[in-house]
Amino acid sequence: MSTKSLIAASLISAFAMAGAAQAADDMMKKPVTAAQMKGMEKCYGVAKAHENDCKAGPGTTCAGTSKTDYQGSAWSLVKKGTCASIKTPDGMGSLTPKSA
Amino acid sequence: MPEASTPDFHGAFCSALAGRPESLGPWLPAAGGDGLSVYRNTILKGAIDVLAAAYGTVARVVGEDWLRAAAADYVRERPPTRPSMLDYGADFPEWLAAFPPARDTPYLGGVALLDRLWNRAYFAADAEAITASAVTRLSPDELGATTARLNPSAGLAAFDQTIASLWLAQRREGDFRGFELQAQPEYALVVRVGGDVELHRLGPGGYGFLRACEAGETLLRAAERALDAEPQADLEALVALCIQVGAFSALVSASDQGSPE
Amino acid sequence: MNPQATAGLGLKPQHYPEALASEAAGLWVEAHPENYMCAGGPRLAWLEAIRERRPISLHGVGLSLASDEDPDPSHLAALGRLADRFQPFLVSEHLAWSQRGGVYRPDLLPFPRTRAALDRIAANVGRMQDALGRQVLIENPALYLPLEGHDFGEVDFLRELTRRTGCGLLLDVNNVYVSANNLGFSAESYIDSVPGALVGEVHLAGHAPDDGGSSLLIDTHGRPVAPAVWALYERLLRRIGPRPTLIERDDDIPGFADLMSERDRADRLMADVRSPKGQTVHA
Repeated sequence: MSTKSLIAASLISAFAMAGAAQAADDMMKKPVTAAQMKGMEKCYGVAKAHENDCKAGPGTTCAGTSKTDYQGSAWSLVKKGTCASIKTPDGMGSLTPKSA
Repeated sequence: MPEASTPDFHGAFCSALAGRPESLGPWLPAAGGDGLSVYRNTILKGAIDVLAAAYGTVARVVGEDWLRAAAADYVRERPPTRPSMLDYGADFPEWLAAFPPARDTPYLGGVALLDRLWNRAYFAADAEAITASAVTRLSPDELGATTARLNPSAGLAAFDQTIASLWLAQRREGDFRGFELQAQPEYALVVRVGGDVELHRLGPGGYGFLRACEAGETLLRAAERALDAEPQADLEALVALCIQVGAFSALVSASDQGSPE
Repeated sequence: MNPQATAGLGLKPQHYPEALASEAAGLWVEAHPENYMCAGGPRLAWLEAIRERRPISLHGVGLSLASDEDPDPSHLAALGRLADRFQPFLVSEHLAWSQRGGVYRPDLLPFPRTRAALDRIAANVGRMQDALGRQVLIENPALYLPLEGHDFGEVDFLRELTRRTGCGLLLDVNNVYVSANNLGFSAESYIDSVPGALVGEVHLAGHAPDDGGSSLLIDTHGRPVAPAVWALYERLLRRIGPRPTLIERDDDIPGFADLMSERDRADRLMADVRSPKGQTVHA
């Protein structure tokens, strides 16, 4: 047998095995339906704190005239994040504030 | 149609927002600096809020303040172009990777990329995942010539450090203090089935396999790619994983491929 | 003029399960369509589930009707698809602009209310109504700049817009209060001059003093509705009767129950003006 045939044969075998394993609980995975709320609640359930924020995006919220947050390169003044405690292969990670 | 003689208020307003309030002279002879600041800040806040929500794991790694300040720079360079901002900031990961103040944390771009893939999966089209039993009806020749279409929510990423593990540690534990990034490659598949977006770590073979499927290669060619990338790859385990996590939404046989959908 | 003259809530993702489960009589919800313009996923599934139990209003923030450019056809088409799918009982947009020259500015920007602006906005409202095949409501914005060069006062401009296009009005009482403070006019006179028959919906929201120290009030939607705004709302109700009324909250979002208590207050005020007892109070 050629290498290709071997690969093809093992692919078939792979799908067959996966099929057999799945036959036990052959649940079709369907699009999200209203009944499938379990997964959706996770977004704002117990996992909320660590998941991406599921905020709907901006509504009609106006900001005042305070410059906090909006000044150019304000990042250079803010504190280092918690990343400083992540070890990288090159040493401790840090966000070095670079003054302009 | 054209309002030929009307002065261009909208252009003047944009110019005022960009720091030239005198452009509004004909409409705003008195000082209106505070009002203009409200509009300018509201516009920035709206776009920054979108990025802060979409890149939540990055925010928890670097701190909310740092992320918002970096996002403000991004927004100035690449403002939103469309009213629906669900997709705004799609290129923030690459921008962040090249952001000079993030130079000491080269993993940030990777963490952002995984956040991006999560978001993309969250809003992607819903699709049914194929079942393995649907596949077993095919002959070996047919199967080899078949292409597997990835779930519309599926996204792939490759890293030369253990960034997927870092991201997962943050998401699962909510705490990554003391996490040690290893200088070893990691591969990730992010996919949503039903309401759940999940990240699955792959070997190099699995990554090569799914990248080939993504590019529309046949299953046979994809399997060859998998073995090229990882000679010892376990195709059975790989296929089982792909089916189990809902990576595929359709199988398209060679005879179907000529016909557009 | 509207069968749903009860109070509703702006729908936030953190409240999806409670909004779905709520048994409150007459509750309806309002969503920003821009936040649902996606191909699939949980957000659309939640809205669909809630829609099966509650009337929905779609409140657009991004069509930029007062721009000097035409409305984005793809955005209008996406709005149309959402309206077809969710069959909202109300659809609204703002008397403002945000899109120009390929840049979208996520804010509701002001403009001089000139005759040329009226022509352009009337045409845009017409496009919107044609695309959706229905009447829409147009909302008065919160204003921060004392622009000159208006040909119309805001109420006159809105009245003329409804006359030309057949659109209705979404009267944001908080915006009236904020604009009146910022531009120096009487909020009461404004509220009293709005033609009641044109008002299809009312918005109530919280504002805040400027964090930068100016005398401006900011339409933050980040606090409970202020007492002065409730007073204006009652004044409006006594004159024009109940209207679908929305509590909007888009920042510092509290628990569902807190928002529901504000919503219930609006409902009670509407019940008061419906009942004879409510009328005698002010006789």
